Order: sequence, then C-alpha cells, then structure tokens
Amino acid sequence: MIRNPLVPAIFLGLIGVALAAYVYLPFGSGVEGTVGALLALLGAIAVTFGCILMASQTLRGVLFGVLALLVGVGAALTAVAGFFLMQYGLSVVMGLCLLGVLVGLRPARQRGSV
Amino acid sequence: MPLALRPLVTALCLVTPAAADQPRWDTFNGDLAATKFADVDSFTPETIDDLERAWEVRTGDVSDGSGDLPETVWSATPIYANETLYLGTPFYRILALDPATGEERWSYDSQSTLEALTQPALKNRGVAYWESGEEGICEKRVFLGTMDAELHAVDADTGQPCADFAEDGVLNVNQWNTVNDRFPFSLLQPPTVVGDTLMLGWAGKDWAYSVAPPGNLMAIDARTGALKWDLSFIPDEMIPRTGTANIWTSMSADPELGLVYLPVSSPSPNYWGGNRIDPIPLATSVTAVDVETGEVRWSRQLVRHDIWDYDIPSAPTLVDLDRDGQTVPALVQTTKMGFIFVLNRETGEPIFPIEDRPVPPSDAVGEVASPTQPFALDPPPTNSPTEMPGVWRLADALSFGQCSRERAQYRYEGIYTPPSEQGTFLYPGTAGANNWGGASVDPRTGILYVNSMRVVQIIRLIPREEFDRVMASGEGGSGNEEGFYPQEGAPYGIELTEWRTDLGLPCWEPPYGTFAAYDLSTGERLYEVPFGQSQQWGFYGLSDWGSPTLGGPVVTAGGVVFIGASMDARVRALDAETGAEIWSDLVDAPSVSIPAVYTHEGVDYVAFVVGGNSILKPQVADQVVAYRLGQP
Repeated sequence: MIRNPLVPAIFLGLIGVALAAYVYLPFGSGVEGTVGALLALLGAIAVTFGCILMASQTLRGVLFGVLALLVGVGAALTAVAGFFLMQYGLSVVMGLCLLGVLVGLRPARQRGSV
Repeated sequence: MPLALRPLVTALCLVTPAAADQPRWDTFNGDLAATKFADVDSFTPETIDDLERAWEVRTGDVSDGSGDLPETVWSATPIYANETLYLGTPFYRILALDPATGEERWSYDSQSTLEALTQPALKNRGVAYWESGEEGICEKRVFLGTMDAELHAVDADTGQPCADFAEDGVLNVNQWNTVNDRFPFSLLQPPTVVGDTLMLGWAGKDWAYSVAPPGNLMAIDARTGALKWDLSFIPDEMIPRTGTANIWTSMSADPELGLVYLPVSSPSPNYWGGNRIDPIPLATSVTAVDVETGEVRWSRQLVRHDIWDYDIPSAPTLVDLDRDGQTVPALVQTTKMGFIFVLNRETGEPIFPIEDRPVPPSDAVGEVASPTQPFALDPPPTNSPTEMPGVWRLADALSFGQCSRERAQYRYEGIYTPPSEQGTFLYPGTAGANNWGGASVDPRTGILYVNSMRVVQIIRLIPREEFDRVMASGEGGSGNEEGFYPQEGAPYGIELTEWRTDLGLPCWEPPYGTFAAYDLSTGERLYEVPFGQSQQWGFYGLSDWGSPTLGGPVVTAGGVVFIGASMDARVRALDAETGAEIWSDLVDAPSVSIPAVYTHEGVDYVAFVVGGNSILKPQVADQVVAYRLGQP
C-alpha cells in the first residue's frame, strides 16, 4: 500500500476531509452548518473513500473505470464547491487530489519507477 | 472662542446639522438630522488596512426559533453617549458597555414577555438616550421599548429604573391603544428624542386585519412619561373601516425649525384597499409636525392609496444644499419604491420635480387603484420604476423554463401594478429597494450614499373561501415577509413568495443589491456598483451579483463608508469616492443595522451590531464588534 501510486491522492483527500469538516463545523468559516458546506464535506469523504477503494484494487475492469471517473468528477465538483464557499484551501487541496488521481492512474512506465 | 468667529461657527452648525452633535452618536441615525455622518477623519482609504478588532461581545440574547423562543431580529444602532455604549437587545434588555473594551458596566432586564405578539420574530432596534443638562439621578436616561408596549426609562449611569417616569420607570403605552385594539403597540424602534420630548411610534400587524389600530404619533414627556399630545394619521370617519398608517421606523428633526419629520406607513390591510377608497392624505407620506403642538405643518403623500405596503421606511435625511448659489434646507427621503424624494424641509415643496404619471388599474373585487402616482425621476431612482429585472438565463435553463413561464404568467406593468388574483410581480419586493437603514449624506459635500436591493416577489390575492380552505388544510404558514396572510375583513387573503425556481434559485438576473452615490446639488448619480455577495445554501454568488441588503451606511469625514447589511455576513468599508470595497471582515451573521462611529478617549471606533434577519437568510447572532485603527 505504501508504494501505491494513489497514496498521495488519498493523503490529499484526507486533508480535504479535515478542511471540509472545519468549514462545516462551527469554527467561524462563514458557511458553517450550511447545505453547501455539508455537500463539500460529503464530497471530500466520498472522494477519499473512492481513492482508498481504487488503491485496494478491489474493483477491476469496467467497475474500476467507473469508480475512477466518479472519483475524478467528485474531486472536481468538491473543488468547485470549495471555490463558491470561499474556502480556497479546500479548493486547492481537492484540485491537487484530482491531479493525484490522474497521475496515480497513469501506467507505471509513464509515471517512472514506483 | 473669539467673538468674530461665533457667527461663522453658528452658521456652520445650521448648514451642517450633523456636525453640531459630533463626536457623540446618540441617536439611531447618529444625529437628529439622520445624516449618519461621522465627523471623524482618521478612517481614510489609506489608513483602512490598519483597521483591527478592538473588542467583541456576545450578549446571549439570541434565538434561531428552533426552541421555545421565536427567532430574533436585531437591528440596533449602538448609542454612544455619556462615555458609554448603550444597546437594546431582542430579549428587551439594555446593556451599558465600556466603549474601549466592551466590558459590561451594567445591564437592565425589562422582564418583557418574549413572545412575538405582533411580529414574526423578537425584534429590537436599540435604545434612545436623553439628558436634562442637570446633575443628579436619572438626569441622564436610557429608554427601551418592548414588544408588549412598555417603555422603560433607566438611569444612564446605574441602570436603575427612573422612579419619576410613569409607574416606577415603566410607561404602559397600550393605555392609549383604545381604538380597534386588535394587537398591542409594539415598541421595537426606540423613540426619537427631540429636546425633552420622546417622539414615539409603534409597530403592529398590518397584514392581518382590515380594521386595526389607527397609526399615531405620541409625544411623551421624557421626564414624567406624560402624554403631551398625539396625532392620528387616519381620518376619524375612516377609523371604523381601516387602521395603521403608523410610524414603525425612526424619525428625524430640525430643532431650529421646531419640526419633527415623520415617515408614515401604509393603511391596513396592506394589499387591498377597497375598505379605504377615500383619501387618507397622511398615509404613506412624509409629514412635518410641530414639536411643541403636534400640528401638521406640511405633508406630502408619496404613494396614493397604497396597496403595495410601500411604507415610508426610514427617517428622512436633513441636509442643506447649494442650489444655484442659494442654500436650500432640504429633506431627502429614500423609499421602498426606489425613488429619492428631495423636498424643501420648511415647506414640503419639491426641490427636484415630481411628476404625476398614470399607473395601471386594479382588477380586484372592490378595489379602485389611484389612477396616478408621483414619480421622482431626478435624482435617478435606485431601482427602475418601470422595468423589473429580466429572467436569469442560468436559473431558467436549470429549471427547464420555469422562470420564463412564470414571467409570462404574472402581471407586471411597473412598480404600481396592483396585486391581483392572477398574481402580480412585486418589484421592488415588500422589503423595498431601501428600508430602515435609509441613506447617509456628507453635509459638507451634499453627496448621498445609499444601498438598495433588487428582489422580485410574487403576490397573489386569494379569494376568501379559497384562502380559508388553504389555511384549514394546514398549508398556509407564514414566515418573515413571506407566506400566507389573512387580511381579515377583506375579500382576499394573500400569498407572498420570492420569485425562485423549485430548486430555490432566483429567477431574476443579478445584481441583487447595489451601492450608489448621488450629488444632491445636481441630482446626478455619481456611481452605482454591485454591493456585497449573495448566498444560497452557503455558496456565495459572484461579486458582481451583489446582495440584497438590510441596514444602512455611515459616511465619515475621511472619505470612508462603513456598512454591514449584506447577506454574506461581512462588514465593510467602501471608498466613498468610488464605492469600491477597501476592507471587510467576516462576522457571525448579517449586520442588518446601522453602525456607530464614535470617538472615545481620543480613539476613533466603528461598532457594528451583528444580529441577522431571516429576510436575508436564516442566520442569527448576538455579536457586537468594535474596530479601531491599529499601529501601521
């Protein structure tokens, strides 16, 4: 697992979950307790869970492809949600998470040695 | 002061009534002229980056309505007087705070019932301050009104009730509520103090009944609580058929002229007037009254036969203008309709032309809408009087054409389109283009600053039988300026909704709120910019969409405007010259109030009450925040 190419994406997803939780909980983000902040939190959790699922290689073939697509779309939408919640840190982290997923899914020879 | 300078200083005080009261901020609008001008020059576009929180306080007097208590709406202006900052709260307490630290010096609990007797929420817009000029107990007083019609007077130094005021410091104002007394006189707006007289209006339930208490102004002796005089705004012969036309907001006064200026609201019920076809000249008017006698000196009706709830919502601003080399004593009235009426405050005559224009007829049963209405087109209105905002394409696309279909379905022929069974667009919405925050003006330049909102609502007159069925079915609830209202005694109840898609997106195109400046000498609009950011489900709109606003601006001598008011729970400083945002800070909820600017022990502060209002969004708070300039 430690050598899995999706580890950076999982790590970024976890940071996203922490940031989104901070945004949703009553710490004065300006959007705490709102539906939008809840959606961002659920999005970050779902993306992270999806990354873990991909890394575990439980799913293969078409199902893996569908999961990868959903994770990518989820990360992008959560980044957009972060932007409209004015939580730019969350936005950047989820954008990087998306990048991590894309890089992690490239064939090994294109990524270099892992 | 050298004798030679005295005439000059006297003249300056007369020309700029606001300057005389500085650096106190001892009324709802900062001064009796309602200029909301602070003669403080330390806050400038260059220094504003150094603004920092001096202190913040949470009062504990807040409810979101989810528990036993109704929700709170807090729009108090902090009062700086007697080297103390005084606040009223929506739990009807008075707090006296140290202006430099926010530390509580004393508090007073009126023990008022915490029931929303006449309103959808527990509301408070602060306290009033009076001093006799003599030394002794209760020679300086703070007055607080309550939802259940009591006016409390307490000593400004100690917070103890003033025994010589009414019954041990408590005046039961409801003793004068003897005609059509369907509800108590709720004292949500602090009295306006003119000399030793408290000018007192009240709030009621003008959507509930056709026949209701007739609106009046009560002049109360600040020392004894005795009624000096009162003035009714409904002609005697019409009192059995209608009511209200009350004053629920703040007033202004010109002590030199001995006049108090009254923003009078609409008669009842709000959206159908078949019971009151005869003229009610003082309703929806700005009226000048002699402070000593209560005699009406002049009155100008700004809406005839008001069937839109276009209450005159704020104290008119008094300022002297330079017109063709002459100094003219002016009165500027911002309105829910978006018109800015500029009148001579001595005579009530227009300084800029007011044009009578034909307006659409009503098709409601028993209704006869006025065939004409006064249009003040100079200075330009804050909102178009003839066009409503277009359909927002994004919302229309996401709702598969719902917005376009409804635009074609409902009636709109300008701001005076009568309510109808078919459904009528109400634009500006019932909260108006401008509301109780009013405008601010720099009396040195004659430039007016005003925030306005662009919200579209739909009003539908519902025939009585159908309305009763809806209510019986349990679907007919109401909220804060939205929902079903009975208009008991009229052939129609009403339903009022914001024009949104089923997903909750606004159907009309942005901006939703703007901030503008006007040169009152020429009537020219200097700029108009989107203001604030709107929010839906927590998501912010783009900055050029602006935000609906409640609350008003304060302009300072240093060229900075301070304002909260927007949905996004930010308090802001704007460059008065351009309207550009130059500073902001996130607070606990929308600051739907007028900030106070004061100088205490040589340090300038700006203080915001942060209370929220569900008209903007369901977020309430109990925060007071004061800012001052730190070290650069």
